Amino acid sequence: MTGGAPGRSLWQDARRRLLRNRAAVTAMVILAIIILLVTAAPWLSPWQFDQIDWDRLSIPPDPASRHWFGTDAVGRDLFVRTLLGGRVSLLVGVVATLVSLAIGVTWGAVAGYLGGRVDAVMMRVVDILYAMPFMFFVILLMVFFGRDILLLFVAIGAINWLDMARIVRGQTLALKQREFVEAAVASGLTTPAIIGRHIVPNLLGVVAVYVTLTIPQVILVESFLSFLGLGVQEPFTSWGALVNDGAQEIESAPWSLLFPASFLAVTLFCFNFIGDGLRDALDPRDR
Amino acid sequence: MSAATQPSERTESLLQVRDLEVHFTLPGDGWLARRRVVRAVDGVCFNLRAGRTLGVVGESGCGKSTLARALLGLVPATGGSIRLAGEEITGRTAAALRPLRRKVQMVFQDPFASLDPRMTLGQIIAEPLRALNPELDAAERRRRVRHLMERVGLAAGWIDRYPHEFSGGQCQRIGIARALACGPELLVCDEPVSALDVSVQAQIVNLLMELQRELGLALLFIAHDLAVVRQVSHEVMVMYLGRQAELAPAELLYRSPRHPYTRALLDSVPLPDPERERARQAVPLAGDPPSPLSPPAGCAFHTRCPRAQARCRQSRPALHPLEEGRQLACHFPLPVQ
Amino acid sequence: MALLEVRDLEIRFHTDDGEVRAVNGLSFRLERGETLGIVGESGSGKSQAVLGLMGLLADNGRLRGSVRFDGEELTRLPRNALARLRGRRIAMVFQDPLSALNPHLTVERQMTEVLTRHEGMGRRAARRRAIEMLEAVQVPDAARRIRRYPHEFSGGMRQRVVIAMALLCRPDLLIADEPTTALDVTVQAQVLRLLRDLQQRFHMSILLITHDLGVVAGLSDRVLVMYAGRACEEAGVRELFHHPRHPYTLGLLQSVPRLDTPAGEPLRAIPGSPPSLLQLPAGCAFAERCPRARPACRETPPAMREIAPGHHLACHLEPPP
Repeated sequence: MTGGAPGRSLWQDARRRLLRNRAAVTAMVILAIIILLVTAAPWLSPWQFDQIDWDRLSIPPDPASRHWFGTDAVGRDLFVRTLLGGRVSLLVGVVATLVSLAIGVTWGAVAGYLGGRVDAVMMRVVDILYAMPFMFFVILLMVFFGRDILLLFVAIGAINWLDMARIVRGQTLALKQREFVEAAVASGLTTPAIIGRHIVPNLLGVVAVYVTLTIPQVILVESFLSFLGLGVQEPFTSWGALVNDGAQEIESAPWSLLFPASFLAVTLFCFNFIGDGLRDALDPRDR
Repeated sequence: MSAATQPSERTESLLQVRDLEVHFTLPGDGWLARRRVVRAVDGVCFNLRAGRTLGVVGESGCGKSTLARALLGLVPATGGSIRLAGEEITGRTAAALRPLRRKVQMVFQDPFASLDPRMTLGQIIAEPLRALNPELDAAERRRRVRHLMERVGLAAGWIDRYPHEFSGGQCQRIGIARALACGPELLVCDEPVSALDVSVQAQIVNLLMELQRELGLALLFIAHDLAVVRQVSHEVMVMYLGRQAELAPAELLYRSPRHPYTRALLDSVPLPDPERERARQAVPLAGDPPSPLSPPAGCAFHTRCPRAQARCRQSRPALHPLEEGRQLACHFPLPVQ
Repeated sequence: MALLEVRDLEIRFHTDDGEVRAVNGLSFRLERGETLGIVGESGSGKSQAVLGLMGLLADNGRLRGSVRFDGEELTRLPRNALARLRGRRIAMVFQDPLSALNPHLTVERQMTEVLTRHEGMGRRAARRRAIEMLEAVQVPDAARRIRRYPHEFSGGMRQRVVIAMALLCRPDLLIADEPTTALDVTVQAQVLRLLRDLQQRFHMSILLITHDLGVVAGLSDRVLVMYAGRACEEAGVRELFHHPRHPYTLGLLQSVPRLDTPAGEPLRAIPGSPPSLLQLPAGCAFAERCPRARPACRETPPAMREIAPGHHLACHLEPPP
């Protein structure tokens, strides 16, 4: 504890612990590879995602024709479609989670910090929204406004923020009792400054864990909607839509289920391992 | 603020507290239940001059921490008045309080919990400067922070480190540096050493006394440790269930307490001396302090007081001045020793 | 034979930041009917030492050394045998009475359960014994209050209930870890008096762990002072308070403000803070803060030696007269 070197922040400590967690690091590497593949999809195959190979309908993986994962019933390349579906699924996961993050953290932190009547009203709003049958709500939106992918992001995000708001509010209530918040009031900070400088940064750990667990949840919801035929629209696709298509041909063309389903499962596992690792790394119990 | 070690009797008090009341309304059980009122602070009066220390002692639930928070405007006063350097604090909005914040700062009990774990020492100590002296630029702020750190016994090279890398005693020094950043005239210390190890307590007590001498600070020193309070205080106030039992110059109070509760407190402190400890007679007080939710009628202390009589159960004793600047609220005070 | 004999106790914790050396070669004896006070600051290893000898260390803790209780080696006892011993022959009282009580059960249920399970008593007899014990710890109106839940008791009464529970099986050894730290000073005085009376009445041994020198002075027969996981001095209570020989003991006694000496002088603080248990210095752990430290102090840790009958000291320096 001597010398003038800058100290280790709690974040740096957490990163060090996270990097020592083998499961989490492996998951991060695999996830990075998946993201890379998904981003580079158009350059990895000569086929377009909506291009129909009339000669090869529903064939198993065939390196000769560069259909690495085979083709679907109408002759579209499954490799490209799986990666493209991954783009959509991951994008839905990330964007919807960001939407829920923005609304949930603000809502929860404000309600928790201000407390009293404001808190009561804000949390009753959350309770009421909770009580709405969410699938029904999304289905209604889709039916009324058509199958718009942007709308899908917003709809899922707008549902997910409720959990986030509750978690953040609980944490804020606990933080508010801490003396450093009182010290900030005594130091003359305004309420927005206290929420911005003290409450939110101290929430980020919990929020980060929750985000890594929300992304796979959102991906699953999107898959479910696609499974119901309410997700992305043809010729665009997502992992959920692909799994749905594949499931219908499980006997004749098992590869059309196997590849997208494996990608989906591996991605979900990765997020969960990262979430667990983050939680352990940020957990202050072992310090 | 020149050296104020010996303020003349005529100087006006820096802090004047009159009949201060802080009552909380607790939410009842359920919607229609009757709301309960806790009289956390109930009629406290004192003056505090620059360069002096008022010690506040009492057991848990006596309202001493609420008193501290009321002085900083962290909880609203529900009655009475607090005048700081002639200006009324009570009834102000947060914005109207801000200019006064430069004059009064607080040192907290828990040295770790009172520092934001995500901030560096430099950010923590600079926070009051940032909020209350916005005219300073970053370089000037940093210069001042380094100076403050050295003043409280921290190496200036630690400015970019984080609180979790330091011990309790060092964290308390960080808290003190933050409290001093804006050059306050009054420092409210809420149990500043009770969370620290015995061998470190003395360092912090000495530091606070040194700073007081040097800067002419007025200190309000809250603690449950009567020996520490005697060490730092010029005057001492004893509180019981939100009420002021006795207030007197420290030497007088410890030599000749006149409230039976003060006597009992003093007699309860275990002494680091095997012979005296073993020769101790009966336990001074039976039972626990009553809940502040339902304080006894009359004198709040009558349920545990060895001298209580019928009158104590019926009427609440008023605070009245006695000899040598003593204030007392008791119907049947102990004789002067 | 001593009731409890601890030899060369070592406790280590494996953490992400390295090995925490919580207790380093601690030895002491406790005779029947005797009270030994263990004094130390946070991180001195006093609490971990007793948790260790009771087999209650956290999962990442490792213990070495020997703990003999009434001639039986506890470190080699299987888990459930040790668990049976706790509660019957060794009882414990901790700082926070609320965490020691189950909030969902009445005091009666919690107290009688101990007796029906450990002693095979009938419900009636157990209830009678529980009420007797509550009366012994001076809980007023015990027969009625026993039906209440823990939260219906005040802080001081709760600690009395916890003590009564600890004494139900008439243990030979009571371990009290900071038993009065969470209590108000007037209540602390009551509980200390109670512990002293109970010891005489039940003739048990007490291992008292505390940071408060005043508490030790009133209750202990002998005192062991710990610093950074090591014992630095052990002596009879009068000897220790009147003739402290270790610079740390002396420093502690001098740095505490007390009511029975004149006020006004600046306190004689011990400079610095205790060393990190992750990187203990090679020599005497106190050398860094010791006003009399010599080069030799920083090289080897001092061994415990007897400097007068019953007075043990771990210090390289010649003790002051």
